[in-house]
Amino acid sequence: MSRVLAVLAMLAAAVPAAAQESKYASPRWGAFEMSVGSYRPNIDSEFGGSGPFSTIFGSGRGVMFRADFAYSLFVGYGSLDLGIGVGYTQRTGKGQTLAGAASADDTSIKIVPTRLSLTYRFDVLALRYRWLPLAPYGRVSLERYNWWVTNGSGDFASAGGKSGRGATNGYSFSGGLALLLNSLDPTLGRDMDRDTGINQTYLFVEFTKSYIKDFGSSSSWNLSDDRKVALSGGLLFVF
Amino acid sequence: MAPRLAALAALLLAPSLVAAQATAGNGTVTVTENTDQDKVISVAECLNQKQDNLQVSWTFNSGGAGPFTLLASDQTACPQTSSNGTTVTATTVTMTSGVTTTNFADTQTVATRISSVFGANCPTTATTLFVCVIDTSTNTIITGSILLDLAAPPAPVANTPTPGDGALNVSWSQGSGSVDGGTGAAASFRVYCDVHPQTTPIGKKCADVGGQGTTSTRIEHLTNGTEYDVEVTAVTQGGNESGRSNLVSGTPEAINDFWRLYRQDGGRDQGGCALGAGGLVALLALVPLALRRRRRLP
Repeated sequence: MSRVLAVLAMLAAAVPAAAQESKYASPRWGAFEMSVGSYRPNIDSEFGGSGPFSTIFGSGRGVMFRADFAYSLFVGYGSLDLGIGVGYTQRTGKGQTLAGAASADDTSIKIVPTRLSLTYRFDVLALRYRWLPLAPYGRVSLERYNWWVTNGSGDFASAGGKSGRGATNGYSFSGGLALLLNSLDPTLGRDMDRDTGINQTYLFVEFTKSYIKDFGSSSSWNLSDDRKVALSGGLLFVF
Repeated sequence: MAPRLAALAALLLAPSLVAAQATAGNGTVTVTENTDQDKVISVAECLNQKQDNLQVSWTFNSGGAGPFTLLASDQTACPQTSSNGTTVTATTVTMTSGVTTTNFADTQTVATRISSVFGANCPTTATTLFVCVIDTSTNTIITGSILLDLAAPPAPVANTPTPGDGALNVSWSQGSGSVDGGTGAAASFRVYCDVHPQTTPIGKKCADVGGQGTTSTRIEHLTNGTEYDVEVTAVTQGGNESGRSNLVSGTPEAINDFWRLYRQDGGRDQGGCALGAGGLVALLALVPLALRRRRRLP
């Protein structure tokens, strides 16, 4: 074991010239990311797993797009970012006649998730060694899912005096792995920094466990993803 | 020597002459209708069932001091008798002369102008009425035009409406002979509907639907369980309306959208946009960031 560590230490010492971030790099102060992932709200959990969501929208999963902007609170041994994000997802299906048959009228649920997040990205090794361009990260978020349901006329749905729109709060935990694309062509990366101020570009995959049900409120539905862990991926620009 | 110089001068000047001919012309003439302000003459206006008058305004690129003479013609540039020695067949009439302003409101109706140029009956093949303005001080002529939309489109073919919640989803196909973009082409559609039973033509208009290629619309604010009769017509850009489509019927019915179904099944969410505990915490968490930014300001 000690021999392996010694070899790794020698390798690390042998490639200092391969450092990803030059001393001429522009100062880092924030990040922007765009991601896409699959999503299916766990609304039917109230009904034992099969309920109105499945009846109207079927069993498939939808797509959620998100964009996040973050301000770097700390840049040194890794990065600590405080961010805000917004996204969009929707599902559309056919309404039901009172007899239970599918009607010609469409009905949709549209969700705009917003979040306040704190992210720590361990990018020390990725920035130092070209042969290790990976930056694991973790994120904790306060989430607020703004949603509305539309009827066949495209208007907000309403039932029994209850408006079919609202917001559901919650939180989520995410973990991911980001691949530093600058490692593929450091020269191009430095040119991009000089031209645009973007220091690094990452390709990432992320796993999220969400709890979007108004902290267990008895008068709220469950907009958490119906999978234990949801998968998403995207691009991260650090500037 | 002189002929050589003249030839050289001609060679040098030739490109500039070509460039002059390639310019947009001597000016612009805008022809509209006074009442409905459009640039299309419809069947009703041609037959004087709907009275309107031409409104002409113009701008000369140079000169244009007037006085002006206005002509109406079935051919561009309003040729009188011949052009370049070739006899042309055209009908050109004088609308007015001695005008000293740069606009003219015709006192004759559109129907009168059409009949004076094209004859007593509305033309079935002509698509344009040309209006020319002559600056008599320089004998310069500029031309404008207005579209003749003198054919009605074919009647659409309506499909049986599908029921919506307090609504009917009406669809149709364009009748045979419809050609998008030409005179007589459908530019929009009109839906008539009323409580069953109705006899054609239904008098109550329920919707105007824009767009040449549109083939469906939704009629709302109807009563569930009540049968309605529906007809559709096509309308050209000038306002010529086709005959009625076949009469079709449909009955709106109550539909459970997702929210209704969720609530009906006993869903516990109450809706509403109240700021929950999480949202409040999120807002409070923004405060440290704002303070940090503020401290950095000089």
